[in-house]
Amino acid sequence: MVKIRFLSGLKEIVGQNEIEVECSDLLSHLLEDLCNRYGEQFCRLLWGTEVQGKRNPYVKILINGEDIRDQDPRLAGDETIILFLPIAGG
Amino acid sequence: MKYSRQLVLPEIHWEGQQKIFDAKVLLVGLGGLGSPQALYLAAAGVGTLGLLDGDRVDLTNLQRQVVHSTKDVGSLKADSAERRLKELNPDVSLRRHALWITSQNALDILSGYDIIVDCTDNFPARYLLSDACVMLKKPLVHGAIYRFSGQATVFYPAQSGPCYRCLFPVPPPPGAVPTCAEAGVMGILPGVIGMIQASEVIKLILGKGHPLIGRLLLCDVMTMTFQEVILKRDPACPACGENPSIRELQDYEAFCGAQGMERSARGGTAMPEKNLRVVDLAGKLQANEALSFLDVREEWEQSIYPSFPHAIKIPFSTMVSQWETLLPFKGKEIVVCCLFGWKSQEACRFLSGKGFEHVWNLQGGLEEWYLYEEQSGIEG
Repeated sequence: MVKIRFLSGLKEIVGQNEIEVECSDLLSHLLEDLCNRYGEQFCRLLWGTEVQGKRNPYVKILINGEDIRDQDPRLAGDETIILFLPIAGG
Repeated sequence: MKYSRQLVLPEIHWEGQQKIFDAKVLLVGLGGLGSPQALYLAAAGVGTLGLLDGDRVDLTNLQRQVVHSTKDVGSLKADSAERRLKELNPDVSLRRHALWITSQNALDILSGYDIIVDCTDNFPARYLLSDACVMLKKPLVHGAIYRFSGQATVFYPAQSGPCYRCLFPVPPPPGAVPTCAEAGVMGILPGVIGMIQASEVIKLILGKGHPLIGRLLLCDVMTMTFQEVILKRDPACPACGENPSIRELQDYEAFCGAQGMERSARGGTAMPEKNLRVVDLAGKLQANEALSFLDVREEWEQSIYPSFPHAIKIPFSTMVSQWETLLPFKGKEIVVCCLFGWKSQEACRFLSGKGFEHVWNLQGGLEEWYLYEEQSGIEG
């Protein structure tokens, strides 16, 4: 199972801390599934208005602790993915 | 005697305490994160503490900005913090900077300190501090908070760590990530994150332990989980990479705002919203102008302040599916409000994009409105 954790800023949007999903596909396909699950606001954060092309670079995606930046790796199915947003409050 | 409990620690002892006495630490921002750090770093005997903030204390700060007291409301935060810290530890030399950090003054101010602590509350200041610290080869102790979650790390490219731009190459567009004023913050959270930052400051001064260089600590106090993430330096980073293109400080407001422009262009809502100050709204109401009110607060926010009489309530999160109920008001003057004026600003942009020409964003939101009513009541 792929474990997905939503941290600062994102967890409020998806309303969950953590989910587990079956997936051995490209990361982008998993993210598209999440878009369908969590709706427009989540989708806009990831891609802007069009669900294609480059993701918004300010949404951080870490796979097994590594910042994948704009890559689209194929998942083996046992990863831990962390998604979070920059926050600026002080 | 005063420092005996830390002198007894072999990791500190006299040698370490002398380093603490000799250290010059700048706190940029004396709000939620800066307040507890100011108290603890002064108590620890940090020799020189820079207190930088151009803001004044207001009542809503006191829930978390613990260096300030009720009697300080209206005072400059730099003055208020200076008063409190003088009482706490007169050994500490306090340097008061009652101003905002800018591209013009940052290098001058920061160069007088060994360690810079980012306790600011906005993206432009965070990018500015990061770039300035890269240029001056100084460590930047980072902390940020939002609702119940926080982040802390140490940006220190001079010791092979990444900088803020390696982590976040571009800022989110304005409005995409709500501020604490907009989304709220648990008052204790800046204490938690601030204490992580202050611990990092002391470790950097001592040169002991493993500082959070290249590690980002993500904290969620609701689940009380801490997640450590490895941060790598980006060789292509425009600030600290192999061929840096940023060689002088920039216009950071424009840098962070430009992202918003890009979003507007993509989102098709390029029409700027019109802002209405609370004093102007009062004038309009006094002149009996025909106004409709749209309250876009979420349901859980609605009990904090009452809405305007007869206001239409459409929570911002449902705006996309519910805006059409506003069609009968399309030609009318609509004042859009929320708690603090951020969601309403977004709602105005959205409605402008749908062809609503007479939408006004109530600046500062209902909080500003009720503060104004209270103050004008006192004055009157």
